[in-house]
Amino acid sequence: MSGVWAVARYTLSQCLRMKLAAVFLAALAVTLLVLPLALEGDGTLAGRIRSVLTYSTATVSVLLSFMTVLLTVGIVAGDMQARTVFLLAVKPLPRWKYIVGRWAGVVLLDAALLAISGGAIYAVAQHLREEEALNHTDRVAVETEVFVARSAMRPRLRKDASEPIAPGTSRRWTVSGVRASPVSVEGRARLQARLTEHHAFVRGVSANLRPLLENARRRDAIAEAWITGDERGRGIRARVEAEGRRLVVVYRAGNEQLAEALRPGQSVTVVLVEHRHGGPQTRGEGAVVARESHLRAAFEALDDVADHIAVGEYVGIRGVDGRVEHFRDNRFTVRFLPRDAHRPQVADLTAGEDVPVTVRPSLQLRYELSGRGTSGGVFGQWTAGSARSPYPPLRIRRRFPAGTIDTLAIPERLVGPGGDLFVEFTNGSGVNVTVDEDTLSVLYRAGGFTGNFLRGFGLMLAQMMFLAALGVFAGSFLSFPVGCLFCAAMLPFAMMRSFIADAVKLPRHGETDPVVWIGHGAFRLMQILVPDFARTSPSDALAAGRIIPWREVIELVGLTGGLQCVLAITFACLIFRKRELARVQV
Amino acid sequence: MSRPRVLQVIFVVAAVGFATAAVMLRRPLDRISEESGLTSPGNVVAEEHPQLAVWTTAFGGLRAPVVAGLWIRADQHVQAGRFYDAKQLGDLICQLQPRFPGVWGYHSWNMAWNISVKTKTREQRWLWVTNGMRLLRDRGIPLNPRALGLYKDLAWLFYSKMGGHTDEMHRYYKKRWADEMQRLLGAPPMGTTDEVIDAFRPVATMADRRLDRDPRRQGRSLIQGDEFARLLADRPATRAYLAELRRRLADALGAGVVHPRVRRVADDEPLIDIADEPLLRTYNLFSRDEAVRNWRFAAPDPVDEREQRLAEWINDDATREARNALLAFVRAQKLWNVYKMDATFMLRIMEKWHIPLDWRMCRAHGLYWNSYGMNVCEGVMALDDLNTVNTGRTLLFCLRDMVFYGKVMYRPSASDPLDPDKAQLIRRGDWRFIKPAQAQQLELIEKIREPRGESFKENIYRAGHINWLTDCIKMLYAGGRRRWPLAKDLLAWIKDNYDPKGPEWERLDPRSNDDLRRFVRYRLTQNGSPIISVAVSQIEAALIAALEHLTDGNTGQHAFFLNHAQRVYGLYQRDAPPRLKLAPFARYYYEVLAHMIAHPASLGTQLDKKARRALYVGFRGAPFAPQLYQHVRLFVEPNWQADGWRDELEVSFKTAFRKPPDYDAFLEQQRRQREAPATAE
Repeated sequence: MSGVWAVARYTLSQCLRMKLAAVFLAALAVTLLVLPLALEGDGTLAGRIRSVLTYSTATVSVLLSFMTVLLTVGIVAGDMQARTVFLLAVKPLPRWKYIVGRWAGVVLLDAALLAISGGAIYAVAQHLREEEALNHTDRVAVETEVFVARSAMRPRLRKDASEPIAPGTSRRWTVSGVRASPVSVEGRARLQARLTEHHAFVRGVSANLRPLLENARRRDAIAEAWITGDERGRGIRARVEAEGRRLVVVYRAGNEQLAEALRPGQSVTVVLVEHRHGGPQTRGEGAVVARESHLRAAFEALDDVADHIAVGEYVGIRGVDGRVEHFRDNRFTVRFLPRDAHRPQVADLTAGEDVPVTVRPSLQLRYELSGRGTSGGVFGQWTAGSARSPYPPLRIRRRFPAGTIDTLAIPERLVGPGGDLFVEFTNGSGVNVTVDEDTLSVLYRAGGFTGNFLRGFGLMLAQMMFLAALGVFAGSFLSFPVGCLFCAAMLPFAMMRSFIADAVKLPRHGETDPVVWIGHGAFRLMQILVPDFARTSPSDALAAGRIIPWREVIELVGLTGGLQCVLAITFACLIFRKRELARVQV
Repeated sequence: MSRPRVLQVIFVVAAVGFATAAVMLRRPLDRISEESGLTSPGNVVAEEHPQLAVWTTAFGGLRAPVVAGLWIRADQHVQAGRFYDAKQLGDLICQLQPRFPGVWGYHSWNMAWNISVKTKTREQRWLWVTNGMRLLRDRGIPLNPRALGLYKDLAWLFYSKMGGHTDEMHRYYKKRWADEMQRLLGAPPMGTTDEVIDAFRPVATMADRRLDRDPRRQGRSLIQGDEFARLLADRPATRAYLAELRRRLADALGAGVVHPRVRRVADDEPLIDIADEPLLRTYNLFSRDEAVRNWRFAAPDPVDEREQRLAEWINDDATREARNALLAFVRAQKLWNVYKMDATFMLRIMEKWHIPLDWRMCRAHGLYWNSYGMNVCEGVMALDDLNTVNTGRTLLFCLRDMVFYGKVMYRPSASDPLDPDKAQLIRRGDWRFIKPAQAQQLELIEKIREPRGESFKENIYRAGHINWLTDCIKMLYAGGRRRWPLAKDLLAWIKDNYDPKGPEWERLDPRSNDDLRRFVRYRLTQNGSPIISVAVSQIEAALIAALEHLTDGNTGQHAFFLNHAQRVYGLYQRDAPPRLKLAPFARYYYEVLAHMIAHPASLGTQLDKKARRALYVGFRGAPFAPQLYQHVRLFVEPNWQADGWRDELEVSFKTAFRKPPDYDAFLEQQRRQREAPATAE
């Protein structure tokens, strides 16, 4: 591979010397400097960050795409035109190594530029994150809708899901398999008391629990057993804490998996730490401002915690959960469940006292309503909850936007112990309303922004790898202008493939027009050979806080940066191998 | 040096020389062009935005496809709920076609009317409505100052979107706007029209003297530094006042008292920064001037001795002149630089129609932008142009509606003054707008009638004009006998000028009280239910008249007007859709009663304190007595001494306004309601 490496290094230095690369580098630098200053979004901080992420990643992608194509075609075709290839041809360097080396050199440059521009965009985004938000809702949106990587869970759809909902009627959907379950501190306290009394039993439980925990850890899910007074439990806990997993979930004895481990019939609640769908909890310090009643108290928290609190969400005060009813200027009012009113954590709250505050994560319901004459919105009620959750269902009754996709925050506390959650829409308007089944989903936090950002740039690198291969392929048998034209024809196809797929006429049954068949065949072939750049662009995913899963990254990198890229390079090698570099003239 | 090199140097020097000459000549040439009317007036502003030149030329012939592509993308984003990009793209499209007023109008409309209703929270909606408003006001109009359609669109936004009832969150818009304007201008006096105009005059005078109205400077800073320096140089007392305010603010907050209501200031902070937010906030917090007292729930409540001293100093008569000059200056500057409004023109509007315009009302701003647009575009607008016609109509609608909603009371919550949701917003009719609106209607008819060749009697506005005047007559009738002469004048005017047909007009003697009563009753019963503004104006006017008669001891007239109010209420409720149903009738009665006791001037009546106390005593047994007592405690007790209650009644508050027996139970009930679980957002 030394030959390939030597050509790659030479290509890299050659690229850096070229004016073309310098022009693109300057354009890239100017873009990354100007865009964050010029973009305002919709006037909110979340909108501004989204705009910056969308436009800066899209601009980097476009600029680097053109640069890659021009450089690769220019270098390979230029070698032929300037006859510098003769110098290489007479050396003991196989022709395929020349092609691969040229490709690798440009890809190296792309990788470096992507790393630099990605770093710059990431730094700008993080800088903007620290800017003052328009209001608290805006701040919460920044933290929970932008700087996250959310995945979607689709509900089980009934046959009549697409039927309109008549006025005054309801329809319910159920999402199952949400692994997160509500924390019940009451359960934990019961458990602790019970386990203290029954050490022997607990040791047995732990022994049974351990394989489950080990198994779960392998899945990067369950991580800790919080069993007071049990040596083995403490050992597990210590290991888990060392791994930095600090999230708590309660599995009730009703949970089938645990019921086996804990012997059926025992009313023991086991508290486990699990990687949650809702994302990490935010912990910090707060202070009691006023005790308003036996169920309600007002608190104040510092920015790092307060930035994550939203009305309707659940916060843990000294480990007891309550729902946030009001929020303003870092002050918030929490209403506890009646069953918790007399617990010392709640009953002993006094004004001025410092208390630990934990903000529980939330899920988001994504939906789209539509109906005739609903441009001003649809009045109705969304209800979310679980029959098995100790917390009352969330009811949001108001006018909801129609004709557009909207999200509603649902506290993760509402998910039942078995991971079930229902959402229900009651149509309170005077017209039939349809809930779009393709849109209806529950979003949950599946990862962090940084990882998602890196995966997104990984996809962009795969895109550049393909374009470099395409450029080398074109340069291997075409002159520079024709090669550029060839690539310029491929680029729009790759960028608008989805649109073209919708627009292309499919041959119907009994179609006899050969033009349609040939056109369709050509399109299918192009689909195989040319990747879909809409899928490799991370702009929309990053702006929407949508996760780019590893599965997709592997698939796209394997397809675009692997198969299609290898295909193009192979063709380039084959052509270049047979190509007559010089004609002997006698 | 070789010959080619010499030539190169010569050419480079020549190029630089020509470029320099071109730059130097450009401004004089531009000025000559402007003076000769050869350039668009928006050029003056456009020169200050070089990016516009880049955007309009960078794409060359591809500008149209680029705009089309952006337009499609913007629409797709709105459909997909990605609103964050819609404003960005709208801005970009406008910058690519900065001289195309329709583009500014479309995108402003899209944001304020279409995107706003796709959002769900009040704050989001307000953001999009104001995004649309700002796009026109701050960007579109300065670049196209002669585009009447843009003024019309902006005025319509104030009139219909914010001032109307079509959006279910319209009350929130009204509160936000009233809040913003009240913080800047305070509340107008509750007295006569002249008093209201005179209260605004200092701001206009200051705008005339200490404001550079060059459009190129508009919005560059909140307060123009050079004008500020001139103000301080002219008025040493103002400089001393500001310096003292800075010292006292630093002192009040220096001892570790972090009061969220006032920003912390440093000893050496520039005076121009003190003149803005710190001055207005401190004044609004502690002043006892009428402009502030009219809307504050309770007396100033300093948290410590230092704040107490600050509050006393703010109200010191010795510094009144300096303070008022400074307030007028800051208000004029912010109106111009932030709201793009000319205070001299605002005053001109008030004087032209002689109206007590309250700038906290959205429709007052609709009136301003219509009038301002027509003033700026005078000479370039064609009378038969649709924009001209619609601008004139919107202007008229604004004036007409103030007859029914011309008085505003906006009181931020005492517990949470920053939350407009908790604030109280009351709008009431003001008959003083009838004559100006009538004059404007006649002016509009004359403008339109002649080109169309119509007779006055058959003019295009005939039906609407008669209906509106009839609504005014009904309101005046409900407002009590002292308003009846004007009602009869209007009735006579309709009969003389339009000669309408119908049973109610037959054998009608407009000067007869009986015929007026017959006419009103006929129109009430035969014309179907009134629209909400007309209904509420009649109900409240009748209730005010009823209670006025009650204080005179005339229970018969009280019953008469009370019956009338109930009849209008019943007629409206009969056909109103659920969304627009009114609150229970007793609520209206209670509201009018409470205001009559606590601040009768807001209802346009003058009641002495003994009569107000007598009203309270008379209703101590009413079901709403606890609420009434709570209202009196909030608004009367804090000003017991300052407002002269003690001197006139010669008793304490507790003696004059005794607590109803069930007041404690009422408070307990309120507490329980507050603690009830909230199941819906």
